[in-house]
Amino acid sequence: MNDKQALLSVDNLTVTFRTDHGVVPAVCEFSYALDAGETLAIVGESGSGKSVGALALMRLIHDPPGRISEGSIQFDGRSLLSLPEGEMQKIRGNEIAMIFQEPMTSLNPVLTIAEQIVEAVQLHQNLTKKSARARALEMLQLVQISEPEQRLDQYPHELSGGMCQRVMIAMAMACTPSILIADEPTTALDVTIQAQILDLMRDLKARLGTAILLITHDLGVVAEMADRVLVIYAGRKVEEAPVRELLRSPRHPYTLGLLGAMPRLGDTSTDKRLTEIPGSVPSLLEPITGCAFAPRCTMAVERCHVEAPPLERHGDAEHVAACWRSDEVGTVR
Amino acid sequence: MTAVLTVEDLAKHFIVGGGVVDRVFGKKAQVVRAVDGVSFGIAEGETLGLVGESGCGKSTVGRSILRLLDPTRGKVELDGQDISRTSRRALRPLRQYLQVVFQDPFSSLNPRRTVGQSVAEPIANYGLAKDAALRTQLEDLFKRVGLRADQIDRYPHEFSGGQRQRIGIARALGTRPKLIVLDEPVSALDVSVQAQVINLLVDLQQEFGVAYLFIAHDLAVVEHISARVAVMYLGKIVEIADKKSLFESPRHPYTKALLSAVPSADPDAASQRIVLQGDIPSPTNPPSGCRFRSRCPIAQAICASEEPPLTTQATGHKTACHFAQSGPLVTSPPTAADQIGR
Amino acid sequence: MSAVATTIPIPEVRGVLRLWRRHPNVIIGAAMLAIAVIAAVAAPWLGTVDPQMIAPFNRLETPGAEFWFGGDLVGRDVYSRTVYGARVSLAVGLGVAIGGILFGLIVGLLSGFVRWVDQVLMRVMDGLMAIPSILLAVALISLTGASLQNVIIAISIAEVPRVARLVRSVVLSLKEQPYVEAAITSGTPFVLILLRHVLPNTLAPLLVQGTYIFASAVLTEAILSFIGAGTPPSTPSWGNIIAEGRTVFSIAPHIVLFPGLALSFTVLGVNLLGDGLRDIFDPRYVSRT
Repeated sequence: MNDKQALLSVDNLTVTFRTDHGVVPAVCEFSYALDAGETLAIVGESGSGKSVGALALMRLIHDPPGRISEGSIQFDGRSLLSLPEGEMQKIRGNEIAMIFQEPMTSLNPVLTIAEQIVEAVQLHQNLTKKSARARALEMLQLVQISEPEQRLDQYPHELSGGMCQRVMIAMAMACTPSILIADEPTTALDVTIQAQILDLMRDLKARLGTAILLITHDLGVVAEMADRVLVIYAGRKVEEAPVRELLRSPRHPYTLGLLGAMPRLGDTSTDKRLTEIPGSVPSLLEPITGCAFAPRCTMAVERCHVEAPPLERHGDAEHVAACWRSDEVGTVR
Repeated sequence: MTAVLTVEDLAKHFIVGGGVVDRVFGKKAQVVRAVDGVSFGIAEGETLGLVGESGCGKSTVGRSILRLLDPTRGKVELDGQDISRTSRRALRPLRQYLQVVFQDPFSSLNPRRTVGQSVAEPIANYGLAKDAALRTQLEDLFKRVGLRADQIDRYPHEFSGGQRQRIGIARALGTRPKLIVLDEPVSALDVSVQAQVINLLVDLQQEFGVAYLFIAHDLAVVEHISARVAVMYLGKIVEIADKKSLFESPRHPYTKALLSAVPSADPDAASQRIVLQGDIPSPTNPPSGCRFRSRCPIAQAICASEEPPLTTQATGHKTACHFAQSGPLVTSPPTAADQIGR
Repeated sequence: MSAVATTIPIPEVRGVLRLWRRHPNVIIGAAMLAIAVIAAVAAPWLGTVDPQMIAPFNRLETPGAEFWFGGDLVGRDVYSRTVYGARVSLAVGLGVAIGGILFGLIVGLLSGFVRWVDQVLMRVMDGLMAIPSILLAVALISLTGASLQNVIIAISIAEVPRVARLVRSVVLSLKEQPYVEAAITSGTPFVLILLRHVLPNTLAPLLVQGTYIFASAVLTEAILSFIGAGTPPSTPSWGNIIAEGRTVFSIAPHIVLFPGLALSFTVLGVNLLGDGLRDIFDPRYVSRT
């Protein structure tokens, strides 16, 4: 999308998974770009392929059953898909780091917090044990954990979910990566803890200039965090736009449907029904002809079932949508 | 309106540890006060939302009402009849009027039985219909929750999460209950499917006049579906009010913080977030006095020594806070004049 | 644009062929067990002679065209004895599997549902488990005397704790399942909850456990017979054939070899079957369609 060189650009990525019932394309001709220091949110429902699209750039797709069958990933002038595994290991955790949904299970229960951060630091940086420990303490202070000196020698089970996620972020940021992939980072957390973590991530991004690839299903989190948003449905990008633009005037009926299906706080009008998206997410086992969303779309016409709409640009902003009737998509209530 | 459910001073304490090995090592049994004195009522055909963060005891309230757990203390009256101490045998006929829908659509149906068998089970238990009549009733129920009659003889694995939740709802509706406890019924579902199930629940309530106890952590969902809302923190109700009153003019600092913490999908929403510090304390050793005081931005000395009772501030609006007031949360401590003026 | 947007369907292969492709262990194991069963059932028609017929002339005969597996110390046909020996081994395996599971199921269900029973029964089970099963079986047989029936009972008792623990843990996890709780709140009587919702869901892990018990019982019986505490010498069993042959192992290894092979073959087959069944029943292999 960008004329200037992006920090990361994923082009035409197709990842397939081999299952007992056939080969499933988890993401299909998927493209996006991430500039230094920006936050791109990938939004989708479960099974939409939103995590696969991000795992692919860490080359964390297990083969078999998964396979990156097409596409290219350029990161900082290097082609990630053709890099030898040894080179890739230097990038993983060092230049591109990742945090996951379940902070409790993402930490090793038998190692102390210090041991885990030290290990992560020493893997990529030539530090002595002592200075790595100092770095670990520094990181815990950075993520604003209470009593950081004490936490160093505690085990994950002694910390709460919110604190574990802070530790995960500390580990991820220890090598000051240029990209942080956050896969549903607050989904498992309570709303008051979620607010803490989102604040922390915003703060770190502002201070360290890390680009964030945020994978989520929560449009509220997107509105608070993202600069740009990409909506994925059945493994395909259906819309991408700057966050305001997307939330204000979506150009794809699926995006509009998601916004309408979400109950909003402060909307006390009791008798208002939520907008339903009929049916459920399609099985990727069946070949999809035409637009993948057409069977659930209230606006679908004949053409939608036959011919897949290409991604087209709307307006002067970088707003693209794949819908034959995108000009008729209404605004949010 | 008559109350279909009245809960008075309900408490459920769990005992952790205290086994032989613990005793050898001198460890004492610990009491987890999951629910510690909760009172509320639900009117016929009404929805009461019960919200709170994980560990606040909201699910334990639901399970104690359902008698999946035996309450430690307190009274639960279903239609005027105390069911908190009834023997399991005597309870069975009453269960017809008290049903449940669980969170996880995958484990709430027996994988080895057809969904029709699962839905028919409660109806058959009370001898409400048999053979052909049962079949007709099943077909009606299936259609009513948005499924096809020809899906009755299929197995759970053939359905999606949203469809299974519809089946769970059909099972709960079969005996014409007066109250359904909905324990996080939509939190495992995708947004687009969640809206379908919420709309269905609203429609069914209007049609059958059933009351809901809607337990959830998602404030927006609770606001959408409930008539009244109770907010729980560490085993206690800190605020309970009509939906409008609670969401538009919350009085308890915890409710205010909770509401402000919800991320808004509206990019223009003015976000004045109150970020609470720290984590929820352990229910084995809750803070003295007001349980929220360790995280409360306006806590005073009195909060540590005296537990604030749940008192009525405005019509139907009860709050348990020494400094309850509507309006934005002022972090500067209130003056003595505020207290007297209260 | 949508050229790649298709799936490549793998043709559905049903039945044995599909099973063979996904879980070959089950087929191989079942086939090996079937061979042992056929040998046991059809022993008289498999070219055997009376396994107890003593023919001093054929003492320590080496395997050949006439005596396929050779002759033993007193000239009995090792082939016939090995084939007939399958009867004892399989009877013990099956008997112990059924007996152990039945008693284990009762104990496990009771402990899973009734808390005070659990405290008592599980301590007893712990006690039983602390004694090596061989020693326990030897002790029990020395009390009752050696007979096929007593061997089965003795080994079964030694197996009960393992089954009981398994059933108890399955019951405890099933009790927490929302569908069981939904049945409780639906007013389903306790007995029906047990029969409808709990028992059927314990069967799969029990079947797997059953195969392992079967295999270990066959081995235990052989060991018991080997040390003379098992099947009486009047009935050929793999254990006592090996026991009798061990004194002449250096000059006539075939007496030990063939029943030994039969034993390994059967135990391996049953274990393969068990592994395969476990793979099939393991929830990680159940596809969520």
